[in-house]
Amino acid sequence: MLTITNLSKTYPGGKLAVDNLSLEVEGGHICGFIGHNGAGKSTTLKSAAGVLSFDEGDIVIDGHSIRREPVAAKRVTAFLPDNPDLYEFLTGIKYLEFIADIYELPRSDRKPLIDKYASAFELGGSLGSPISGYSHGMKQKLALISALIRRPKLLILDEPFVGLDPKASYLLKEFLHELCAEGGAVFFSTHVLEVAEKLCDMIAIIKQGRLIEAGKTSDIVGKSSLESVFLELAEEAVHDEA
Amino acid sequence: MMRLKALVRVSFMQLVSGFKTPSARRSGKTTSSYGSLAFLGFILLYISVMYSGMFTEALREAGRPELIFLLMSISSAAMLLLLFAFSAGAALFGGRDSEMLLALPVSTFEIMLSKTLALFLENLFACYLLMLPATVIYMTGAGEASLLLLIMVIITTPLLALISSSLTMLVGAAVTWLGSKTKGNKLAANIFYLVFFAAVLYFSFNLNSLLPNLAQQAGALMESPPWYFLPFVLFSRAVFGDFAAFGLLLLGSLAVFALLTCLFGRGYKSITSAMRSAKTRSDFKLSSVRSSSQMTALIRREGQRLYSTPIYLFNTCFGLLILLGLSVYATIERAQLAAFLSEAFGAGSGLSAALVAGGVCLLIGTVCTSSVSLSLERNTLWILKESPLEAEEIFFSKALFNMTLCLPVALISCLSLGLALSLSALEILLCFLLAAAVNAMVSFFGVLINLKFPKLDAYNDVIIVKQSMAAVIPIFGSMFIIGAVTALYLTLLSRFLSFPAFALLCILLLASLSYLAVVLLRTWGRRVLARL
Repeated sequence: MLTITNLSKTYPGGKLAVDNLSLEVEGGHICGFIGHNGAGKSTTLKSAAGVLSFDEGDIVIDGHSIRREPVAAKRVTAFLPDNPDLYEFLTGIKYLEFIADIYELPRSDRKPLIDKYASAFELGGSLGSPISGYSHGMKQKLALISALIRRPKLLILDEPFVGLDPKASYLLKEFLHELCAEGGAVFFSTHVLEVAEKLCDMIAIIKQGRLIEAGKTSDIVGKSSLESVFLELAEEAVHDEA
Repeated sequence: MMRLKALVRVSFMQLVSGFKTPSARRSGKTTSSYGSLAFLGFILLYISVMYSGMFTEALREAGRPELIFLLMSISSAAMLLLLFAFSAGAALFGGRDSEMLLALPVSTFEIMLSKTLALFLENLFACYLLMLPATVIYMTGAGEASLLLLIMVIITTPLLALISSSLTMLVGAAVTWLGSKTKGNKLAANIFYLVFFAAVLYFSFNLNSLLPNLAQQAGALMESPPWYFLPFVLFSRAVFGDFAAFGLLLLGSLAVFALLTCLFGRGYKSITSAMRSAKTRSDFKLSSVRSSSQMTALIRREGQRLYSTPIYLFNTCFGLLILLGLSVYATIERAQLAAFLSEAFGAGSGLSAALVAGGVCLLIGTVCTSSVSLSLERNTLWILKESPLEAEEIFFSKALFNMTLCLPVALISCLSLGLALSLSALEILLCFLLAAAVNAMVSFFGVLINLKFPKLDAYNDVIIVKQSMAAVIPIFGSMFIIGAVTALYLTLLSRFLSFPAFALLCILLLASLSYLAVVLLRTWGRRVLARL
């Protein structure tokens, strides 16, 4: 579903954010992307979503290259940045209508989908209010609803659990499983290693722009915890550089 | 004192950062380009020279040239109120740093003082640009070159800046207070802005009628000033060495400035809290979900943003409001309008058509929502970039929205002005087609300009709409070009070219330029958007 090949991105000023990263996420799988602050997680996710241009390599989503066929690739993708900024001048429902129009959702599907996810996240009653009055958690939920109603084949999420209450976090996990059961894939970053360990089928660990480990969660974690594996790998990477 | 200095520096940098170009910000150098600030300075100098010249001429004929300082100080305060009032409110209470500032170990008085001092410095810069040319014109025109006068103007102008800062702070605070009370009611806020701009327009249009009796009216003000003109009377006395007037002005202006700073400092926390809080209801029931095409959704979104941001609405659509006002005037006072133009330019000769076309095009050319629309996306640009949209669809939606706003008004204006001046149907049609061609070109070039000067990191919409390069260039650029072309036709080309021929040539040229803009958007524009 998602194939990242030799991705490299350098920001103006010379900072190499991602260095020759290759990664594959198959349909039906949830991939957790973990790394320390500034490791290159958001850069990788944004490049995959087509929000950020990159220097080398390619990213293919459901057979469409984000470089050569960006519109086709984005049609099957939904992206959520960390701390998503939404249109404050719109109400919740107007924002969802806008997204539904842009993604050309069939008219008959819109109300049931919005009803389903808005009720689940308990946001239905607030959809008539301006987004400017929403709390951070409400904005996060609205952004998630706008991503889920598109029924994407690939869901790219940057720190999706930040700001969500426990019930919403549980529901999000359920919806992610539901998406994968239908053949979709999820690629998300998180700092909460326990969530990654329990939720993800595969884990990718990035440090200073380089992928230092990727594979099935069970293979990577083994008998220890993801936390100890992560810290060990990070330590090894430091020694290798030295 | 060190804390205050740090706060003032940050506040002033926030105000001025609106003028920096993207390359200047990326370079990270402390000395960076202030292109738009210099451009604003040029405009202020131009306005100062124009108004001082006009006033000095009228006053000298009446034997009272010294009244120039009274008139220019009043004009300066009014001009700066118009320029800075709305951004003052945003600067004082609307910055995203309010929570961070309140968490610092500084008093709210220090926070407010840093912001009001930054506003004062901005007003001081503008006041010097307005008053010094007026002084030079007075000294050369009245033949009274005096070093003492120049020195007194230099040391008294900061007091004028204190007065204008206080005025802009008051209006800015009122606007902010209204905004916080009418958060869910954009109509109320828009009506307030409409009334304010209507008052400004009324004053501007009536200024010309004051000129013949200027000396008499200004003289009367000097003799027995109403309380609200007293600071300006004191200013005009102080520059001529009246130290008592200087002392009174110094005490008064400092006292008002300090009082407002204290008051706003005390209310800073409650005002910023009120601005952040909003009523969120929880009784919404989903009945039906609207559906439309991608382009319609994009254009509708542009309209929703315009309507919900009063400063965006009135700053970009100022020309449309004036055009509508002119249309109403032309309909009601057609005989008066026709007589005025006939007297000024001669009857017949097709010049009426050229004047209508020039006037409508000039005002339509100042309306460019597309030149700031991309900047206003700010942190929400990711929504468009992750959407399955071609870059040109995004660009075209912004340009088409501008055209959707302008074309109906252009049609109404051309019809009403054309009928008032008895233009033929062909002439009215050509006027409208010219206006439409200008509008198309401005709309597409507006997007290009915004791509060249994106301002995605502005700390509020006011900076983008009023102070960014992308906002300033289309307005003044199109005014200059259209004004020059109209003047060229009226003074010279009309002898060789009929209006229809000239209009057709212009329409062809403008259509070609629009096509060029579209090609650039599809090639260069796409690459730039990908990098943003």
